[in-house]
Amino acid sequence: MSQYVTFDLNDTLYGVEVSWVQEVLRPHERTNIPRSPTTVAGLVNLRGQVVLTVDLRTRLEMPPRPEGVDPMMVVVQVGGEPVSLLVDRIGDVVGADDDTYAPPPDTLDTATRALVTGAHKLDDQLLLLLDVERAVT
Amino acid sequence: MDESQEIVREFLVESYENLDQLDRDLVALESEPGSRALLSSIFRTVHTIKGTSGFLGLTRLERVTHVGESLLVELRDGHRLMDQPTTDVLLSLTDTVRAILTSVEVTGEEGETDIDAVIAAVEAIQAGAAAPDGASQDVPVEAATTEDAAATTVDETIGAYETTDELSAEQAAGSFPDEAVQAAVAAAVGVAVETAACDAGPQKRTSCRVVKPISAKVPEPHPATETPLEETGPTTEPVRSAAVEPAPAEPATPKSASAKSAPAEPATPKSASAKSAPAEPATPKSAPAKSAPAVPSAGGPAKRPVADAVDTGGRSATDTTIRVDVDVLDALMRQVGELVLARNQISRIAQGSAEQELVRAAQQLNLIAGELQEGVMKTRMQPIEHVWSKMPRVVRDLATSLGREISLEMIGKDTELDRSLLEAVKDPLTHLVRNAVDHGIESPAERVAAGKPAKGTLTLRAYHAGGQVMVEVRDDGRGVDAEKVAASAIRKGLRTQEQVDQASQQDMLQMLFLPGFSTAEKVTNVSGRGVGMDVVKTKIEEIGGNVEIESAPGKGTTCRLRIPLTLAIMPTLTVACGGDLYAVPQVNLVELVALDAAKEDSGIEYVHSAPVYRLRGELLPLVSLVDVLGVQADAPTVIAVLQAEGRRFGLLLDRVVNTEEIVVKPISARLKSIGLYAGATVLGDGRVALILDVQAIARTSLLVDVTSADDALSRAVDSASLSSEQVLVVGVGGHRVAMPLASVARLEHVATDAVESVGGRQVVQYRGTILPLLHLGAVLGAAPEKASDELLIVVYSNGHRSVGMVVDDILDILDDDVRTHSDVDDSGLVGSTVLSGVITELLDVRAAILAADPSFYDETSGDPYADLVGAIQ
Repeated sequence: MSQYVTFDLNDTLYGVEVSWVQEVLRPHERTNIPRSPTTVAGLVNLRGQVVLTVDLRTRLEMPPRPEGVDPMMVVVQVGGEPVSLLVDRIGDVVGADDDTYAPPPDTLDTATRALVTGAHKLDDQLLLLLDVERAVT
Repeated sequence: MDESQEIVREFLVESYENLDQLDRDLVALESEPGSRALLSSIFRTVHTIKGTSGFLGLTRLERVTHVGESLLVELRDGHRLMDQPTTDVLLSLTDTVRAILTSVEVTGEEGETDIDAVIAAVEAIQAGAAAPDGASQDVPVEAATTEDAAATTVDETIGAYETTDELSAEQAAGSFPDEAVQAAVAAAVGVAVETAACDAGPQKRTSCRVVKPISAKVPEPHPATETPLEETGPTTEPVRSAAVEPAPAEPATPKSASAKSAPAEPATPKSASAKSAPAEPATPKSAPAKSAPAVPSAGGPAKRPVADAVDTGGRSATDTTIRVDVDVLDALMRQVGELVLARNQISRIAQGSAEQELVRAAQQLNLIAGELQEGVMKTRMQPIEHVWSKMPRVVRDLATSLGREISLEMIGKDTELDRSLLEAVKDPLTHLVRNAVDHGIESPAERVAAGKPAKGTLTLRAYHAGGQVMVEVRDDGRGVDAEKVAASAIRKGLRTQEQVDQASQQDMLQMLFLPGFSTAEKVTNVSGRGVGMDVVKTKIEEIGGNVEIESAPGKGTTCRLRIPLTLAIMPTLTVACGGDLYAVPQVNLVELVALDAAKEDSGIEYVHSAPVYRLRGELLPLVSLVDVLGVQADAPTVIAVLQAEGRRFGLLLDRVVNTEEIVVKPISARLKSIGLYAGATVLGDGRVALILDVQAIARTSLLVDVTSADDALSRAVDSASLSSEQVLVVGVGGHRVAMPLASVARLEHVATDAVESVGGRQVVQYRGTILPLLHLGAVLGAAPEKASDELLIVVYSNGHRSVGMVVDDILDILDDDVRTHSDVDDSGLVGSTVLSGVITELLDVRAAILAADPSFYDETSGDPYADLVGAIQ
């Protein structure tokens, strides 16, 4: 059984295995990086450390976050470095057994499918598992 | 990492340090052949390595060091005098040891390093001048016997202790074997405390450590051992006396050994003149080594007092230092950085508060955090001596091979700079030293002829100045002739005659640092391969420093490196652009110029759409930070005049915010590859700011070399004569070809692999359109362009159509006087002219372009190129 930190993106539930996640934070002030790839949403000061932020909405080629929705920061450790992921809303930590696992559904669009390693069929909805390493590059 | 690996690693670290010491000592010894202190130090070093390698089962290393040790024994005992062949052989021995260590480090094995050659060389030296009393032949035999003897000694020694009342059971027998073994491991590992002062072998370190508490508790060992010594005085059996009294036995102490075994020496007062049994010269030195693994505690209990006595000549300062992993320091540094930021927040809260107590506490915190930060910074600082220590050897070897006589002076060894910088400075500095020896200092004969002392002086000097570290390499050699440098730069096509004419002496000397420059008339294996000085410059600039050279012909040359104190903290100018803050390293900043925004014409002029500013009569090319970053912003109010990559340019900014010392944080490679940012930092208010990479901006934003652009721009503004026209001079397959500048839209670099093929023609994608390429070389029938990964393209535009002409070099922008034209022409050319003293061909632009794009002129009604071509004709 694996534990996942879950979050919403464009009304879809995504999950990242807890071992990746360092912390979940309210949004910090971000510094723009002109000429950077569009998926990079700036740099934040995380207790003195400069951390890159990736907006998962742009990464997954979703429409921009509607006005009034303040993104949350999920800080993950990838390759020994923290990277902050912007999500719409943070959910619960969910445990899922292997028997609910399924490969990525065919109905996903290509951009999403490239970043999703699989899905868990939860009781009420589908939990898409995010490929963290790929998402931050 | 498992424990044995850990031990080996520590052994390597320690041995490398020891080898550096060895290099220094050997070179120093040559000028001071009789120095007993140096010989002892060398002996101890070799002996330590030998002892530990035996312990770790590194047999080849042990063999090499053993041979070296036996040669050193002869030297130390005065049976042989230090001369150059001996030094050479010992240095090569050091190199062999280093090679083996490297192999151990890399592969974990000793590898196949050739040790026989050096062993043979040492033996040859020994055979070549056999010691008068034949001691060298005796060595192995003696050693063998002593080994047994020593082994026995241990048992007896311990036995003796058990029965000695002066030491309690706990101090002596009870705890010895175990502790000794542990300590032997610890010593081999070289843990923390460097006990070099208390002398050579690991077994001896052990001794020191084990014994310390004991000797502290038992103050009498000294007198105790002396008495019996006098009693046993006349005996000729050292081993026996050792068994009885550990202290005088001391076979292991080199100091006492040297006293003992040099019959000619006046015997030292207490160390056993009695024992100096002339029959046994080899005993004392070979015994300790041989018995290393077996006898960790041999001299143990007794050693301390003797070691103390010997201390004065040793490296006692190291007793107070400990070795700390750099990672730990880095972590500390980071945490202090965070503390400082937290402090800044508290300070801000306190500022707005009326509560006196909070204000006072905040001030206190401010002070402490500042001091802590400074303290932690200091832990990363190391004296420059770490780098310099290799120089005597480098200079000596080079001077010998080149037949120079050089004395090396080092001033300011204690000047400290950050560890990582020290590492980065090493190679450039070595290169400069080699250069000075090879090119700077003349041969003795030449020097005498010039009225200078035969021995040249090479001075290394380091000092702090203005928050930076200055490192100078100065020689009193022949100096550098600036004119010659300039002439050579012209010959190599690195500079034009015109540029040189305008250059100052200092500018000419700086040409030494141009890529591809080398003044050496012949290439030696030392220097002069043309890769040197520009690499020095690049490396120093990488760490935010710079290089200057000064020279007086006949008097000498000084190279001065300016290095920041630390990489971690950088003085910067914080500037605002488009609502965000950016940091500009102050090392690049020359001056700030305020633009008069109130005036209609702010002083910015345009030359072919390129903005320039007249700064004290010179035209300064401008780069707009807004354009560079592609952000929206208000009109610029300030020009920051920056110097990078040998160019000076102005960066247009919204406004200057502050000067601030910032802590540099690395940014991910993804962001670095944008080519605009050198790093990021957290400002005092907690905001993140990006550090601009001024070098990279200069590279990408300024296409034409500034000196020539400058010329061109001055001309563009100043000359409006009708009889002349601006032409762009390019190099194509060895030809100089001029084309009218008016229609040149841009100069671009395009990666070779971006070139695609459409309908048999080469094209590149350029600003969202397809740009057909025209290889000028092919049109002119000249040799094809030089192969490289980048194509240099002159973009010609006509209406909305463009064509890219591929050329080798952009040489210059010049005024073309129509009256000097001749009509010597060829295919693709309309004639030739003389430009700055060189015959230059004028390109028939229309014909050339039609060759690339036959329909180029179709859509446009008038033909602007016809006029241009006409003008030239």
